[in-house]
Amino acid sequence: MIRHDAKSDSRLSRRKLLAGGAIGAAGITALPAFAKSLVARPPVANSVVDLGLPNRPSQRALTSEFPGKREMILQRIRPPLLETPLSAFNQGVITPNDRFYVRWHWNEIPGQIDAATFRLKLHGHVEREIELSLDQILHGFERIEYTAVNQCSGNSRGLFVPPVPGAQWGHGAMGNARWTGVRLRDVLARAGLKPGAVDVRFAGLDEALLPDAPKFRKSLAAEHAMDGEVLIAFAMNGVQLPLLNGFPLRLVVPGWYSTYWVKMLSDIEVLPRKDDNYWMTKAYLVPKAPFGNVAPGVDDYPKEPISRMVPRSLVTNLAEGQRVAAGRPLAVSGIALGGDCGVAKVEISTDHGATWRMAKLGEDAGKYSFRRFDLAVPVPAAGTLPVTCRCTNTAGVSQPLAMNWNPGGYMRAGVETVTVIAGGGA
Amino acid sequence: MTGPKSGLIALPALAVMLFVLGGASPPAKLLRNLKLTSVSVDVPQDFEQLFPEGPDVESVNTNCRACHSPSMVMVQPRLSKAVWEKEVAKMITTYHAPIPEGEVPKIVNYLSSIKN
Ligand code: HEC
Repeated sequence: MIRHDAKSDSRLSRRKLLAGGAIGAAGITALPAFAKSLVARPPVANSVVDLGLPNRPSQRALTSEFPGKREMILQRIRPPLLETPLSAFNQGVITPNDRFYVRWHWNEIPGQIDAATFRLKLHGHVEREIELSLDQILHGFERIEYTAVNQCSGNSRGLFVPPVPGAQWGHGAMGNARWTGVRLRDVLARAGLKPGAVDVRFAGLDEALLPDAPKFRKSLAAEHAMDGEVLIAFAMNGVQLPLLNGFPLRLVVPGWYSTYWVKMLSDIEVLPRKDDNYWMTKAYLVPKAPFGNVAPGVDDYPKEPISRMVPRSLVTNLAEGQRVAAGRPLAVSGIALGGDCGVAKVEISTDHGATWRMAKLGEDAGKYSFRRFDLAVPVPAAGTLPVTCRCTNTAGVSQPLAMNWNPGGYMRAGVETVTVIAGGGA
Repeated sequence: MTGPKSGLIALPALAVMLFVLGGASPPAKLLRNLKLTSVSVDVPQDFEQLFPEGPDVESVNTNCRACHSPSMVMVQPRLSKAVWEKEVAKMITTYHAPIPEGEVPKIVNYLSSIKN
C-alpha cells in the first residue's frame, strides 16, 4: 500500500527500521500481503501492465500517486523508481514532465524546498568559494536551452538475458525534454578553477540514510565541465522541474547517461585529483568495449565509468502480439536517439535483419533529441511479422544486431523487435 | 502537457516578434517570465510494507526494509545463493546496513527461497 506519511512519521519509521525490528513479528500477519503493494490502490484498480520481462516478475502497477506525475509504471515506492509508459513516447518527440521517469538511490529526499533560501555552493579547488541563490542563477548568467534525451544507464535492464540484479526496468527509464538553464562553464568561472583542477564533483540535496554510507555524488572531468554545453537547468519543457526530477536545479550532460545528471543540484566541488568516491569507482562501471559488451560468465576485463550514450530506437505504435490487418501496409513509427550525436538514419526489417528499408525521419529537434521515424511496411496474408528497427548515428555507429550484455545491466542498445500477428481482425 | 507546450510555443514567437520590430536586437531572454516557486509535497512511503511469508521472514523484515521497499528484492530475477550472498554483503559493506553477522545465513535462506 502506498501511504503519504508526514515527514516526521517517515523519520520515525526509518529510525524504527534501523533500530532493528521495532515492528515486531506480532504485527506481520495483520498487515496486507506484499503483492498488494505492486498492485495499485482502488482509484487505479485493474491498471497493471506487463512489461514483457523474461524469467522474472513482469507485472507492475500503474500509479498516479506521486507528486507532479500522472499515470506511471510503479517500479519501487521507496525511494521512488517510476517508469514512463511506452504510450507516452508515441505522442510526440517531447516527454511531458508529468510522464517523465523518476529514479533515486537513497530515500532521504526533501519534500519541501524553499526557493528563497536554496543555495548552490561552489567550493574545493577554486579561487573563491561562492554560494548562489536561485535569483542569482536565473538572472546573473546567459541562458541557453536545447532538447536532450535523459536515459538511465540501466534502462531496459529487465530485458537482460541472462538476468542481472538491479532495477528491473522496461524501456521507459528515459525521456526527452527541452532543458533551459545556464552554462556550467559560466557558473564555474564565477568561482574560478585553480590551475590543476582535474574533476568537478556534483551532489544534490538527497542524503544517504546513514552518515557514513556513500552519498550520491558524480563527477565530470574538468574539461568536460568547462565545455560550454553542460547545463545547470532550472526549467524542463518550459516550466520549473518537478520535485522528483530534481527541482530546483539539475545538471544536464547531453549525450551522457543520466547518472551524471545530478538532481536537486546544491553542491559543486572542484577536485585537484580524480574523484575516487564509490559512485564513480565501484558503481556504474561498464566493460571497456564497444557497447559495454562482454560475454556472460567472463569476469576479468577492463572496466570504466559509464559515459556516452549509444544509438537506440524503439517502435512505439505497435504492441507485442498485436493483431494487424493482413495484406495491407502497416504504419510503423517510433523514436530514435543517436546517443552522443544525431540520428543519421533508421531502417526497418521484417525478416530478422536480412533486408532493411529506410524509414522517413521526423523533424530534427537537435542532435541530442529523440527523432521520430515512420514507414509503411507490407504485411503478409497470414502469420507473424517481426518488426525490427535499427538506428545509425551521425558518427556512423549502428545498433548491433546481436544484443549487447554486461553484468551491471547497462547500455542495452541492440536492435529491438516487436512481433505482430497478421490477420484475424485488426 | 498543455503547460509546457504553450510556454515553448509562445517564446520563439515572442523572440521573432522582437527581432522583427527591433531589427538587429538580440532575441528575448529565454523563459523571461519564469519564476521558481517553492515546493512542498508528500512523497509516498511504504515503511509498513513487509516481505511475503517465507522461511526466516522475520530476518528480512528486520534487516532489509530501512533503505528501500521490499519490492527492490521481490522483483529481482531468480538469483543463485552465491549471488544473494554477494548482494547481502554489498548492503553491509558498501551501504552500511547494520546487520548482525548471525542474521546473514537466515537472510540468504529467505532470499534463496524466492520463486521468481
Ligand atoms: C543501509 C541501507 C540498505 C539496507 C539496510 C539494505 N539495502 Fe539493499 N540497497 C541499498 C541501496 C542504496 C541500493 C541501491 C539502490 C538503487 O540503486 O536505487 C540497494 C539495492 C538493492 C538491490 C538491487 C541490486 C543492487 O545491488 O543494486 C537488492 C536486491 C537489495 N538492495 C537487497 C537488499 C537486501 C536483501 C537487504 C537486506 C539484507 C537490503 N538490500 C538492505 C541500501 C540498503
